[in-house]
Amino acid sequence: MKLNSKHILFVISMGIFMYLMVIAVLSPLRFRNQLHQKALSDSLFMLSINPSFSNPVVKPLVKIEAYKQSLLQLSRFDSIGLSVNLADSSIMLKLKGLVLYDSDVVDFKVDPVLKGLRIAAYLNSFSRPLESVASYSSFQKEPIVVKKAPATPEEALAIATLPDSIPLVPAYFWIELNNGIKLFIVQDDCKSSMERKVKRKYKRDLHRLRIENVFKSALNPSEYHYSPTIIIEINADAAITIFRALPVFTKVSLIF
Amino acid sequence: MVGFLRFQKLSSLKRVFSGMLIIMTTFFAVFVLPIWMQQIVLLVANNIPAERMETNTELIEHEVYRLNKNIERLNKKLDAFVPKNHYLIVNSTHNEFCLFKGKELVRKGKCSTGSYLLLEKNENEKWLFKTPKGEFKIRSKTTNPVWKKPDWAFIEEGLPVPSPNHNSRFEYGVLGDYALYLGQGYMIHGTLWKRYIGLPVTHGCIRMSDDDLKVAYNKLSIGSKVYIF
Repeated sequence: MKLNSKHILFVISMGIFMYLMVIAVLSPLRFRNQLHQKALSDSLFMLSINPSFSNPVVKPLVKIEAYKQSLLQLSRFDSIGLSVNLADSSIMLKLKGLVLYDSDVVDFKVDPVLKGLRIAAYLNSFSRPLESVASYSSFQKEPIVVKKAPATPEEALAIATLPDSIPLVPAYFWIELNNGIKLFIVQDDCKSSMERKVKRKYKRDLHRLRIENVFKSALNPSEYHYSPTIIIEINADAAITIFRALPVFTKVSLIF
Repeated sequence: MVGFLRFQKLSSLKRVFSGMLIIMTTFFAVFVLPIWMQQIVLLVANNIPAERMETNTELIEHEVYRLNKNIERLNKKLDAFVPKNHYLIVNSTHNEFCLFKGKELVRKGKCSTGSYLLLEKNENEKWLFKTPKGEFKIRSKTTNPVWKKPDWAFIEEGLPVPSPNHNSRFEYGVLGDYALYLGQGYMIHGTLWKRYIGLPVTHGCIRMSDDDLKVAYNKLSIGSKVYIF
């Protein structure tokens, strides 16, 4: 058979495609393996792990214990922290151990990589609060309005504005944690076209993040990239309240 | 001739169609399929038991007992953070407050917090009217408070700024019947503008309605905690 340029192009395309598939599949598995290895390398920590922890009766209790330990550490910080309890579908703002605000989680989706973590890796990763390293929101964190100082009382009267209630804005934000996890918090109910637009943006962002990771890993296979995601749907008011209350760099306690 | 033209038209349509098909397939293969494949493989991988599971009933029961005890101990430690006396929680996003005693909600209502207005006189003189977030304490309490107007109160009204102790700085009756000082110039006080309670209108202080303020004044003592978020 004589090979023409079409055949060669087809073979190259298939090669690239297969390479992307392999990278896409390997990156999350390597990420999970890294978390397992990190736990295994901590010999002192591994002494506290016993085989009964993976038993389905014991496992949820071990996770609760780790979460409580993380909350205890969170209460030692001076600033407002976030507590995400997916075991009982609640999300809370905490300051010095006190619950300032709580809201129900309507729905959530935990990345399969995190779901499949061995108990040792889970405990090693979530027994203490995680730190946020970056964040994004579809609304302003501080809704600042700039006003030029009037020169005269007449001018002051002319520019006086009546106070307005908080405008309802589509609420979606994400927080990236120091161990690579990205926490997406999205409003549950999208009635207006603006809200639907924001929800579409969130889905695009999520897909872009995954694709970007695949391409980054493909270009540099020795440094694979993967960001496990936890997607949480809550009511819009709660999402705005939580994001505005949190400091730019916050701490997060998690249980799932 | 007509047949030839029809053939040409069909073939160009076919070319466009196959071109589009190739682009769509490539897009799907590069941008969608790897992610689907990734998720499928992970789902399969999660269903493979990777850990040796302990089945010794006695050991399991012992672990469950130990863990429950530990969780109970941790819960007690966490509960100890809740103040035993009265304390106030202010939600500055929704302009609401909750007055608690321990875990019991004593009173809930609307309040007003910072407007997030940035008043600019010039490059060096700017004031941002926001309520600070965090943990505060009641430092002092007073009845019939007098407001000593700061510079920005004059600048905001387009008036010249008087000397620090000029008579025009002191306003009587505008802060309501009570004031609770939080420090750094911030207070919990009343207002003459009652219809704005529940809206973000203040210069950073927390405004309450007369009834709510009276309860807060009576229940909160010096040293009581105020949490603002």
